[in-house]
Formats: sequence, structure tokens, C-alpha cells
Amino acid sequence: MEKETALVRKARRGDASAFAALYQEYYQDLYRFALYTLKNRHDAEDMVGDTVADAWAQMSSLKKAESFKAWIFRILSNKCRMRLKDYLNKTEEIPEDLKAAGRDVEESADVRAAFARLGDEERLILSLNLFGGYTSKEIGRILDLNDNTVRSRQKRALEKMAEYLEK
Amino acid sequence: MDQKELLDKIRHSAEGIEIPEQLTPQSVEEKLKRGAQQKKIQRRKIMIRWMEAAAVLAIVAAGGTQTELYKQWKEPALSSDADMEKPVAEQDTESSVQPEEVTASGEFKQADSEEELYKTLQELEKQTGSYARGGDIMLLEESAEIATMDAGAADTAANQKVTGEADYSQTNVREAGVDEGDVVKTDGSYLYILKSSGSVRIVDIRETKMKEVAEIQPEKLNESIEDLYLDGDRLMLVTTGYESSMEEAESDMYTVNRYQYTALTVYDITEREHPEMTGRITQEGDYLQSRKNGDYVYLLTQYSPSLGDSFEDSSVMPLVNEQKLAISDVYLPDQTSQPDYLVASGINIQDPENVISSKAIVSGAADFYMSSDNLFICNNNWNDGKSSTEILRFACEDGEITAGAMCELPGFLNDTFSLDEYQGYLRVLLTEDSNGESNSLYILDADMQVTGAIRDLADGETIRSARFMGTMAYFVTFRQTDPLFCADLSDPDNPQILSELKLTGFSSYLHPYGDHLLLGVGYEAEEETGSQTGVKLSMFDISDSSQVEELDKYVIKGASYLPSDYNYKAILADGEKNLIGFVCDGEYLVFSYDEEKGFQNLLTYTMSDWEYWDGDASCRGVYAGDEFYIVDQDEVLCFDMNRDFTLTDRLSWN
Repeated sequence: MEKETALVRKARRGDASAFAALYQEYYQDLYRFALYTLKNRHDAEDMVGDTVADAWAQMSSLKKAESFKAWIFRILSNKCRMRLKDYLNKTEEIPEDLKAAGRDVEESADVRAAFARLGDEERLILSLNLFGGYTSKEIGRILDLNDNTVRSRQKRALEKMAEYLEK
Repeated sequence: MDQKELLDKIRHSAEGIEIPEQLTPQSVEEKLKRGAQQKKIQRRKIMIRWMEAAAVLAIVAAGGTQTELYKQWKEPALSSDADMEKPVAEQDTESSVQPEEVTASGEFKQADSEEELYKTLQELEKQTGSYARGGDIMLLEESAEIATMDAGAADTAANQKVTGEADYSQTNVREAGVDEGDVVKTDGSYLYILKSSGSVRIVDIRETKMKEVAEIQPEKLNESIEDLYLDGDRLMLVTTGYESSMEEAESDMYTVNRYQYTALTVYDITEREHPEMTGRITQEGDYLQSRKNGDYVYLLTQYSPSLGDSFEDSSVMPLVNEQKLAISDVYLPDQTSQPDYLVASGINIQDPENVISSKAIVSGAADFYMSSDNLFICNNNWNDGKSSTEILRFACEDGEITAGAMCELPGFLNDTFSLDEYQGYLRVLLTEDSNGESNSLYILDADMQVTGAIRDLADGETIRSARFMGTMAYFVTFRQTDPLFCADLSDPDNPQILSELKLTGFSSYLHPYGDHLLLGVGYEAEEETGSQTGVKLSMFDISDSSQVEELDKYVIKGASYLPSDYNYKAILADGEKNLIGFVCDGEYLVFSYDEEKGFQNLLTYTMSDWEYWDGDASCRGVYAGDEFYIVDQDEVLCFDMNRDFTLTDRLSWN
């Protein structure tokens, strides 16, 4: 933690290397989070890129040293939520490429395909938990839900997934 | 399959995913570094040209919500310098420096037209590629006379309370009677809190149990709240924001406009539960400072003109309420060092839409001081190994801002407490660094002509704190020990040092504390080496100015950090209520002072998570009646002062 504190201090003063070192720790999870939430590679890349630019520009608004992760995930999750809202208003089809996103074993592709069938909110809840490391209470705060509601929706989402995978 | 197993599977399914090249830490770092070099340009309304229509389309598709930075690095056509014609301004910052004579005083010049202003600015931009400038400082040969000064009695009173009998704390301000925006305000019945998440919460504190009654979000999504003001049933928010837009100038040329602004939004909070916006003004530029005097708010922003290679390609006039300033409202001091403007507007909070006056001064303003009648803008210059400070005076009366006079003095200012206006005279304390360090005190009249001075004070030491009280000045210099100087300034032509009290350590903040007392907050240091050993409170008896005495001191051994050094508003010091509150090393400390027993530590509250960044600087202690409140980043704590500061309630947003 001490190291991250020093990096945040430096990044706040405009040290790009320090920022990159902080980002290094989380960038994979940031991208995975965006991809699993949005199901679209191009948009996921855009959202993470935007998040990086915003985070860099707003380093001075980062209050707590140890919360760099929570902070940058909050920026990204807000962007992803807004993008999900945009999808609802769009008439054209957004290509879903979550399933084909990785060159890996078939089982993983099946898991991603099942995940992609979940609803927007279900994906958001699971992604926040899995990649953002948020607790149900924290997710509740982000999504304006009671934490019990978050837990029950997460449970329901996982049950759905199990069902999809068994078929 | 149980839930945990399934979660593991999902997590596992993400591991094989390739991360796009653009998002790797290496390429992010490179892009940020490239962006940092262009930072000066990005702050402006910029004009980017490039020749590839394809890239333009890609940018348009990327949407207007992204920041410039990202746009510039994301698209290949932009991220390559070869493909992007640099804005002229940037090319010129690398060109050679034209030495420019520094004179002691100068006139405010005005341009006859925007074209002329553009030419002057472009010339300036060419000349000031770096900060070095030649020439000697000549002291005050002549001064400009533009307006005479309305010498109101700017009473730097010992008591910052301006609301008569009201029993609640006010923001710790620089000048009694001139309010300053802050992150917490109170009227005794409610707390108004700017939360770290960026909204304002109104909390009812009339009952023991605190209750949030309303939340105010910035008017626009991309705005962030910087400061709050409170005046009866009016709450004012100073916010900053930006808007980006892109337009086609020619078939293969697009301009990206980034409009950065500061807004003052006024809310009617007669019904605390339902704040209603009643008016709003926007002013171009980064937010610098603001002040409020009665019904009038003065909003100061820094605006960077966009200088293209022709007048048509440039934008040199800042906007206030989306209207360009008149050319007659722009001033060009003849010795300015950079083509940025300070934009100042006077606004009546009863009618914010109709700005009373706006002025722009081409100036790289660094420090500000506002008395009840004048705004003083200070620029620090550095030439030939010595500092000099340019001070510009603008009269401010009922929102009307009028150019006054200016001067340049050798040395640099410690902070805004180093300047003070009293009965029409400006008193200034500076540390000179031309030949080792020494300190001086100047008294200037309304024309910014020096009437009296004391120079060569405390050689080898620098000024650490100052407080002017009427005709008296108290200031602290330090190298290894802290002499607290007391000067009599009642004769502006002949200021006199009356006494010098040598102590260990030094005070970094001085605050009048009731009758004849002066509170010092600062650091204890070893007498021999000057190295700091802790945080120190001192109480001085100033009743006999020829013999100032330290009555008591309280040392917090090993403590090392006072966030209030960077923001005096973080200190609560109220002699009448006998309360001193401040943050030190992550603890909020409350003291009182007793003539017999000296400093009494009433409360030591360890902040929940003291690794806060700005958190400890934005933590405030306020009182209302018998309650003392600590407003931390995301919570409010209420202590009963009648019951030894027992914690009685806590309102938390976490």
C-alpha cells in the first residue's frame, strides 16, 4: 500500500510513469469488466480509453491513496452504465463479440456465451463483483439498490447461467 | 454447480482474453507523456488541423464526450506529430527569448481593436518562450494614475464574526467582511457540505439527530463544484466545467473547440428541502478564486487565448455569459510575462444574469488579496536570479471593477497574509532573494507609490507568516529560530519595528485571538539546528507592542503535518468562542485557551481514514451553539461541547 500511496502522489503531480504503474495493476480487470458488461470489444476498448483519459485528467480529485482501484472502476462503471443506456435507444444492432473474445478452450467460450445472455443489470452486478472486487453493499450504492437486492439478483443471475450451461 | 464454482468459471473465462494494444500500460504511458507536452495547448480553445479526412470521420464517430487528450492519442492520424500541424502557439514557445526590460511600475495599456490585441499577444507569446528576462529592477520611478482610490477603512478586525450575535462559526477568511467560498458553510441551523463525490448536501442540525434534507447536483453533468457561498436564504455554487465541440471549417479542416468555464449558480433555499435555482452566470477560463462582499460576488478565472497563425484563426476575447468582453475591458500591463488573462467579473447575487462588470487583465496572476474596496493581483517574476512581485490594484465597488494602478517590488510574497490594505494604504511584506535572503516591508498609497519602507530585516531568514491588525503588523521570519516582529505602521511614511521576540520554531499562521492576544500555529524546532521536532501552538500577549510575550505554548511532539499550511480555511480560530480547531497528522484537534492554565486540549479525534488526500485539507470543524461538528469527507460528527465533547450523533454517507 505504501508503494501505491507514493505512486498516487506522483501521478497527482503529473507523472505519467507513476500513473501507468498504477494502471498496470488493474488494466486487465478494467477491460474485462467493460467487455463483460458491454459484450462488445470495440466499445469496451473505448470506455477503458475514456476512463484512462478522465482518470489522468482528474487525478487531483482522487482523495484516498488506497482507493485508486475503486476510484478508476467507479469512473469506468459509470461510463459503461451510460453506454448501456445508449444501447437501449439505438436501433442498429450492436455486435456481440464477448463469446469470441478469447482464443481459449471451448468451455470458456461457452461460459462467456452464457454470461452474454444475462440481462444488463445482471452482467453489471456480476462484473462489478468479479472484476471490480466490489461487495454487494458497494454495488448497491453504485446501482442504487439495497444490498440484499444485489445479493438476490446475483444469485438469480448465477442460477440462470447454470441453467444455460447445462443445456 | 454452486455459486462459487460458477463465479470461478466466469473469472477463468476472462483470463484468455486479449487486451487491446492501445490499452496496455506501455502505450497508455507513452500517450499520456505525449499529451503532457501539449498540456498548455489543451487548456485552450484549440484548433487542430490535419489533412486526412478519414481520421476526421473517425474522430466524429468517437463522439463529443471524450476529452481532448484521448482524442489526440487515440487516433493514429492525430497521435503522429508528422501528420498534425502544430498550432502556431506551440511552435513559438520554443523560439528564442527577447529580453525585456523590467520596470518598477507601468501603465495599463489597452488595445484599440481585437486585431491589435491579437498582434500584441502573439508578439508576447513569441517573446516569452521561457521565463528568463533581462534587465534590472528599478524601483518605482513612476506610477500610472488611472483611478483614484476610494480609501475605505478596511478593518482587519480581530474578530472574523460579522453577523453580530449569531452563535455559529464562519469560514476563516483573509479579510473580515469579505467572504470566501469553502467546502462547508453553516447558518447555525443547517450545515451545507460539499461532498467528495461532488454534490452539495444540506443537513438539518436543529435537532440532536442530524438529518439530510436536500442534495444539490451541479447543473450540468460535466461540471464539478469548487466552492460554496451562503447568504441567508441563498446558496451559491462555484462550479467548473467544459464543453467540447467540433466544426468543419473547410472540407479537410476541422476545428475542435474546447470551452472551459467557471459558473456561479445561485439557489433560493428558503425551503431547505427544495433548493431552487434562481440564476447563473458563466465565465470562460479555469477557476482561480472568488470573493463575496455583501451582495456582490467577484469571480476570478484564468483564460488562455487561442492564438492561431492569423487573427481569423484566433480567439482572443474571453466570454462572460457567452458574450465577448468589450475591447475596452481588456488591459495589457506593459510588462506582463505571459499571454494568459485574469478575468474578473462583479456579480450581484440578486440578479446574477446581468453581470455588473467584467475586466480582463493580461497577466499570469499568482496571488490575490481582496480588501473591502480593492482587488490586488500579484504576479511573481524572476529575472537575473532575483524575484520581483508585480502588484495590480483594481477598485471593486458594488460589483463595478475599475483599473487602478500597479507597481513592481523586489522580492516574493509568502502568502495572501503578506498584503493588507488599511485606510487607503497597502502594506506589503516581501522576502528578497537577490543577495542572500532579507525581508522588507513597504507601504504604498492609492497610486501604488511607496510612501515608506523598512528593508534588510532578518538577513538570511524568510517570512513564514504575517498578520496586520489595524496600524500594527506582526510577522514571523525563520531560519533556526523564530523572531516575531511587531511593527508600527501608523505613520505610512515612517514604519517602525517596535520589538522582536525570539523563540524556537516558528508560526506558519497567525490569528488575532480576542483582546491583546495573538495565536500562532506552526512548528517547534531545535534551537541549534532549526530542524523541526513537532507542531506547536503559541499564544502571544501583544498588549505591549514594545514587549511582545509568549504566554504559553503547546507542542505536539513528533507531529509534522498541518494541512492548514496550504489552506487557512481549514483552521478554526475564534477568540470570542474560545475555540481553536485544526487537523494535524490525521487527527482533528480542538483546543481552548485559559489565562491560568494555558492551552487546553478539548478533543482529539482520529479521522476514520487519515490517508485522505485532500481529505485532511477539506476537513472542517464548525460550531453552532453548544455543538461542535467535524465535517469529514463522507461523514459529519456532532459533539456536545457542554459534555466534554461527547460524540452525540454521526451522519455517514458511507
